[in-house]
Amino acid sequence: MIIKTKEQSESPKRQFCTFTICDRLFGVDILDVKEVNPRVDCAPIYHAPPEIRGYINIRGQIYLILDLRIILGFEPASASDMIGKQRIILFKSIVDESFGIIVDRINDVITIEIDKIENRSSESATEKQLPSNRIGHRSSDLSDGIAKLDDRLLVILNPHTLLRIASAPITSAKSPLPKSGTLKTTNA
Amino acid sequence: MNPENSTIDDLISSDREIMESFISEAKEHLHTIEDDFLLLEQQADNPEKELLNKVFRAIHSVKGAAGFLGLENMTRLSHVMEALLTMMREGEILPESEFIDALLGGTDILTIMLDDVNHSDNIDITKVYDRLTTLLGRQLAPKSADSPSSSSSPPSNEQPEPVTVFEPSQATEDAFEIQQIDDQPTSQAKKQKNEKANSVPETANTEKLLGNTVRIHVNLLDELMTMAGELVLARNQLMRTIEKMDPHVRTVAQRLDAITSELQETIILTRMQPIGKIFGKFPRIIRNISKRLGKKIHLIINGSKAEVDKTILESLADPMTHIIRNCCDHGIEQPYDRINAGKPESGEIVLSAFHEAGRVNIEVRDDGRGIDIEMIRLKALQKGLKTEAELNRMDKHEIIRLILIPGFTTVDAISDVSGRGVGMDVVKTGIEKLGGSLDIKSVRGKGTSIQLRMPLTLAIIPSLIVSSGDAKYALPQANIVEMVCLYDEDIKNCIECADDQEVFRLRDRLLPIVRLDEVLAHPNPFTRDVRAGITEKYRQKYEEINFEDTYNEDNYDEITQSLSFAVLNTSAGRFGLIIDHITGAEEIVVKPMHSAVKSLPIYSGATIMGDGNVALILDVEGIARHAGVIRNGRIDTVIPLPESSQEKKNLQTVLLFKSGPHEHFAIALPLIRRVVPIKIADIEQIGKRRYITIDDLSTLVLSMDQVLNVSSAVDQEDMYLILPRHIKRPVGLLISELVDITETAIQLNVQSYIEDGLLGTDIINNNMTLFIDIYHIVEIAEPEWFAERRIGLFGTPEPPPESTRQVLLLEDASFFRHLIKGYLEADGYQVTAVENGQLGLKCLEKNEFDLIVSDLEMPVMNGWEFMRNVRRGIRQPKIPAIALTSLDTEKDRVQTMECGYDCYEVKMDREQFLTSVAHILKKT
Repeated sequence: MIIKTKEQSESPKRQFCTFTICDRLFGVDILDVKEVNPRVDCAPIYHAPPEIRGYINIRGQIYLILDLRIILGFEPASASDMIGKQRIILFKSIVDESFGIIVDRINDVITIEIDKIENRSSESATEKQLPSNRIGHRSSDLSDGIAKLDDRLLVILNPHTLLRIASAPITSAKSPLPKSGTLKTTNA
Repeated sequence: MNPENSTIDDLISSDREIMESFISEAKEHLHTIEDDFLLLEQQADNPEKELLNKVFRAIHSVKGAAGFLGLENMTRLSHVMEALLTMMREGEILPESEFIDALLGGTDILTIMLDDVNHSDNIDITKVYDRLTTLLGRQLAPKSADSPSSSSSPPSNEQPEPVTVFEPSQATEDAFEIQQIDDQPTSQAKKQKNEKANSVPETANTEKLLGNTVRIHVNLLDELMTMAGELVLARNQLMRTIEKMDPHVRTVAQRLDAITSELQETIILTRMQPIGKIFGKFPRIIRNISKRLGKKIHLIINGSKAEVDKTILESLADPMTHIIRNCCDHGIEQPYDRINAGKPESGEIVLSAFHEAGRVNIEVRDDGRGIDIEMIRLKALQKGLKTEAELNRMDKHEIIRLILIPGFTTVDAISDVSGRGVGMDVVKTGIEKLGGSLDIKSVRGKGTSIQLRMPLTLAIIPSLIVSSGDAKYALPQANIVEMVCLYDEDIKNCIECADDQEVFRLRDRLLPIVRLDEVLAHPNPFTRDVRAGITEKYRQKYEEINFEDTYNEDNYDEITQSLSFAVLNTSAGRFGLIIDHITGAEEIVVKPMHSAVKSLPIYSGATIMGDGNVALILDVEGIARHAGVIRNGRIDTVIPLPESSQEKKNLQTVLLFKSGPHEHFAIALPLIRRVVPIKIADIEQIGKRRYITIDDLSTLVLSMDQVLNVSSAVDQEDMYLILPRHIKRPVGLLISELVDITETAIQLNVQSYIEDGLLGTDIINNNMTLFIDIYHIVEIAEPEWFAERRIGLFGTPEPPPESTRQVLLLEDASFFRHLIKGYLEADGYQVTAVENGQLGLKCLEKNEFDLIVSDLEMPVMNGWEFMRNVRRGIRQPKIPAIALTSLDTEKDRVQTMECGYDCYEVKMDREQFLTSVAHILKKT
């Protein structure tokens, strides 16, 4: 597998915009991404589920910003340790009604051959990467697959499902993350 | 007259564009000079040179263009007008009324001809023309020889005109007439025209604007608007299709995206026009009407620069004209009448417009006779619009508003100015259709003021921007009735609690008060508990603030605290929304909520504000529903005052305590003399009774479990003893824990649980709390203490069963009502309890009573008034009455006795009170 034959290298590739959440690496297909923006000053929407961070105006268009940490079941970011690193990733309108996600840190664009992506069959791997006890949705709903990089795993997220999860009825979304404390990673 | 006439005729037929732009331009000129003529007339003695020049140039332009297009009649007419103006400019004549009249007449005909240019030459202009010519000839000055007296001389007259000096400066912008003057080839004129297409530059009345403004046909603007909309759609489609394409294309597409949005917004702005556009025609209208009616009317215009959307502006013209005509006809009196009324001979109409809170306010005010309310009543009756009874129920304002009903006029004779009875209703409907409102105020003899409030545009909603915490919100102006701001102590005093709801007494209504912060902080609709919690939280907060403290010498005048709320209108009624901070008013473009959050009822949309931040638009109706102020589909705001004060009075301060580990007890604070901490060890057991020494008195110790079926007192070293008031023998109630002293609206429940010694139960702080009847408890424990009195009074320790006496009890506070009723009933009286004097009187009408026991301070009808009514009444005017009150000054006593009470008792000495009752009844 490491030795690439000509044939293999020509196999179709996908590019992923990668980012970090709680020191874990995630990625979304770059074709879904409209832009990455350093502004994170959202206008809060009270009464909305905690996954929804708020509205932001990017050049005259209003985007709904989701907090990926909460969607993935991690502890919400404390304001102090995230200053300056957080970014928002805005998705294209083909993905869903104008929205974006807030991430801890933005990483590189990674090109991966499609056949290196382990699809959802390997759910257990996904489960390992994500806190699995998140109420309301399973991590496999969120993930398109996993790719093994040289030194770490990349969880590929499917942005198409994000909004649906965020706008799930308040009752399911409202329950606080019970074991969030234990989920906090020391360091990957 | 022009060698090129024939070619121009061809041109006219072939190229309508030039003709059209000529017409609109000429109209613009004529439109503005009308005002200027009137202004000149006012300055008759010393006409402003610049103004004269301006008028002159305008007429000159018309003449030039008309000549260029071969419009014979127009050229001739404008020429004499120009000639007359020339004389004026030279100072040979002054702009006196006579001249101005003639010139205005000329302007009118010119306008008529402009409406149908092709047939303009068929219109008879001789009358006006001759009049003007006569005026020209009448001049005696030596220069009159130069002045043209017929249309044959214009070319010779044109040469020396200094205007041509002006014109070249305009030449670049205003190719049209200059070319005529310079006699340049028409082909060039045509070419230039074509280049500029429909956008003919404005030879505006003010030179400053030259070069900054462009005249655009409305159709073109409308088309632009539509196209911008389509561009947005196309952009969206494009964005979808190019998603997968080359990044370079995408960058371009994103730029396109942003530009499209801006374009759309800018086009909306192009539709804004100054309101002066319609104000401009009023001076003339007023002048005409006043001449015809023989009145002197002076018009003052303020704020004609305020801008409004074109659609709204256009639709305002007719209603406004009607209002102005009404002012002249109905409002302003004849000069003779005015002088008699001690007013200046000439009437004044003030027309003003200003932007306020995202709307444009237009006011037409006259200082005339005002609206005769009696007359309106009479007319309304005559015409059968309203019945006498209906009219009697209406207030002044409502009666005035009757003139807005179709078919209503107060003028007997129909004049050509107004009085046909169609009008104000049309005005009103017209205004309302545009989303505006109309209000009339009038003071008889002083004048009338009609106020219009119009939205600036229909696409953008004016909003109040408010902030709560870190976020800003837009509150649509349409929902806001008024803003109320409270300062310092008023915050504490004016926000009251009715049950679990905070209310504000706004004039004669109780307005439920909702706090925006709290609404935002509670994602779920308010329950009763939440609401009560909020109410309590702020009540305590205000209690803590000592407003006096915040004053000191340095900032005595400063307002230390303020609280603002908006009175909001919903379909269900009104309520107040307390707002942290008001940022200002802004016009916002509404964007729908994202579908993921669309279900949140408290928002109706989002918007981008001037500073680039996103603000959510609040849904007033949704907030009311969320906060639970809408009940059964409406908001109860018209709670009559009395009820509210009762609610307030019902608040009773109670001591909450525990004895055993389980039960929560409460006792009304006024019934307690003292609470003393004691040590269990100090209690001495004597027989079955326990005593403790307090203030050198051996005090009987009673514990709750002795008399009530409750858990026995907690066994601990430190205990408390409640010493009740108004019990002559020393007795104390042993309790284990003091929980709190709280003010609560007691609604005693006697259904769920009742026991001898209890008044009832209520829920306080989510605990079922037993309200104890301390006297009764003592009585249960030591029956003989009270037997003395009964024996003294009735001869037996038990109340006499046969002689049941009827007592009417008046007491507004439900707690006391309950308490006193209980006392009386324990002594064997039949008690009918009511809440106020009015109800008391009703009871008296129906039933016979032996005694009245009444509180003094009560809503609706207080105890004094009640008693005066009783004593004056037919039924039982001599009935004995006891006043039972917490008022305890000599003055109160005297006043009360004067009203007819037989006895005065202070709340709440049971023994004393019951003795009095018995004594009084004995006498009768």
